[in-house]
Amino acid sequence: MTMLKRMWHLFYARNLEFLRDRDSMVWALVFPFLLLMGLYFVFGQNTTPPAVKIGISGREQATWVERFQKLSQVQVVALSTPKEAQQKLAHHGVDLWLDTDPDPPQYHISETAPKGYLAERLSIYEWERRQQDASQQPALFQRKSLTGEAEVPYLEWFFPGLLSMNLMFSAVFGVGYVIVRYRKNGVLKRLAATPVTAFEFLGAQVASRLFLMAFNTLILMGGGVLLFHFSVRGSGLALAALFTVGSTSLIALGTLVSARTESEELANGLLNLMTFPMMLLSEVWFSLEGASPWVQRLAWWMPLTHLVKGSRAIMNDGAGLQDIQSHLTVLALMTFLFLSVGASLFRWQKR
Amino acid sequence: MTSTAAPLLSIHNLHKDYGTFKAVNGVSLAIPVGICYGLLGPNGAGKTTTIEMMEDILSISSGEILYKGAPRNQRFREEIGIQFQNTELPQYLTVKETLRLFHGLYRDPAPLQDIIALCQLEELLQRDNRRISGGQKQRLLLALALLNDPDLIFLDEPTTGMDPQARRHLWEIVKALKSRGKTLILTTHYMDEAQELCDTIGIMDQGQLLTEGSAPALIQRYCPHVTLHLPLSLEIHLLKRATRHLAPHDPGIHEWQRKAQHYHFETPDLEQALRALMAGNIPLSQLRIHTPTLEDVFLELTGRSLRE
Repeated sequence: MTMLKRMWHLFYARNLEFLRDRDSMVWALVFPFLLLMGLYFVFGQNTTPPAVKIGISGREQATWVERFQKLSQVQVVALSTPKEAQQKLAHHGVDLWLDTDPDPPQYHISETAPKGYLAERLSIYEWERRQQDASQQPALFQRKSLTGEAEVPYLEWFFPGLLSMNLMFSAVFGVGYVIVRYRKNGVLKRLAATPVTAFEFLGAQVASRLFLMAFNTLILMGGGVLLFHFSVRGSGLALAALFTVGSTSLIALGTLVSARTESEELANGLLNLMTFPMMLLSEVWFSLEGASPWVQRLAWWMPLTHLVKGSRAIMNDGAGLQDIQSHLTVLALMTFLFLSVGASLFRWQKR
Repeated sequence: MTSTAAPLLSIHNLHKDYGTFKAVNGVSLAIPVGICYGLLGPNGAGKTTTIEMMEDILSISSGEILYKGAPRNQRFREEIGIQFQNTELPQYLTVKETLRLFHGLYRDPAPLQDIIALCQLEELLQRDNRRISGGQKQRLLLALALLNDPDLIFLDEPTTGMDPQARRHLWEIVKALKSRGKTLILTTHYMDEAQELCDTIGIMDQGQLLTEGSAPALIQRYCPHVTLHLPLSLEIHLLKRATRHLAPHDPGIHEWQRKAQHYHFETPDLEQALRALMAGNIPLSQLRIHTPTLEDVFLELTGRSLRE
């Protein structure tokens, strides 16, 4: 009972601090809206950014620009001279350059450019395929599209990852920095003179951040529903449970990083070291299907991976609590591990 | 040891090492219930390190600290109050919210209104922590140290940054706490503060406890003589003649010495010396008398000023 009373007082004081720190408060409230506006700007017209950019130069430029503009996932850029075109290609301004002066026209790609191959497939090969279709040659494959419930539009697939990533940054940085600042200016030392334990202090910080993040996530979810007409196909309760446990594990990770750190600069470096690999390997942006097994194993150890996979299962595939049990269990174990190690390593004051 | 009462806190052969540097080097002392123990020393003497080890804020390298005869446990935190030398408070909270926060961290705290009244914080309650002066902050920090009605109170330079009136007020609070049977451990740079408040004073330098005792006992032990100063315009042989009978067996002490600005004479018995000078018709209109203080004791022991 006394432990809960202490945690309540610390939780209340931290919330007051946060609410009165106008800069942080405004940013926390504005950021989700900015994110939504950015999403709406990029995806709101039901268009997606082109996959590749094709530069076209030469006398037949107008003809070829018109032809390539009909291809999907291709953005066409008219270039005035071969010199300019070559420079754009060399500096990755375009992924492929089509020179229409020679007969037949020549296309150039940079072998080291990651998108060169894709540009070649989407533009040159696609054009040649269409020409073959036009000459009535029989198709080798039959084309079918996903329809109805089976289809998950790209933005709906991306949104759970975005929510999870936002939770990660808010959790890890929001708590980590505060604890380091408290240690640096002696607030922790003052608290150490009271009967408060490291577990109580860290628990209160976790609870306070969780409270704020719930608010923040509700704004993002509400915006998603209003602007993009998203729906949660699975259990809302399961999603709430997953976000709570997932956020707690990420906050606990922040407390672990800040358990002994004394300078904000070092904390910043360590927190970036934690978050960047998660951002890249937790399938927020792209799938790890086909990636090497060790990369997939590494990703499994990251809390964000379970948060992203679990939230996609609920929001995109209609999963319930039972279906995401494994993710919940892993996240709960990670929370316990991070908090236990964080509390045992925790240092109240500077050396 | 200055008291036969059972010690509330006792430390034995305490060490704190940072690599090869010995911040505290073999300090032992015992603090009985109900006294104010003053720890004096110049900057870097090891006072704060010693006091923070007693508070269980800093780990010890070796030695032993006992509270009520046993190793310290979670109960220790409930029964002590600490005012640190330098500490910040949570930002964006008012004085009242800060008091409530810390008040809520104890199992059985004192009535908050009593502490607010004792530390005269009534007018500051709605003020943001960042908008109070250094002296006001010290009063708030003292209030935080008293919230749990502690048996043992640590005050690390509590009057630093306070104006004379505020210092006097803090002294009154310390005296009131003593009268209620509380035990206090105090570090200070102010001699008058130590003399006014402390029953026992320990003097530290270079990580060691050089001596301890009451202020009068220390002065009597290390600087027992009053010093008389008379101007150089007087005849030295007349001065010597007037006082030669005071201690014929101890000429080393009872000898007038010429200093840069005056003649200098040390005596354990001021009245006797004054009578001798008057009997010798020595004009005393420019006589200056220097009564020894803790500062002199400190200089005698360390060769340094307490404020260094």
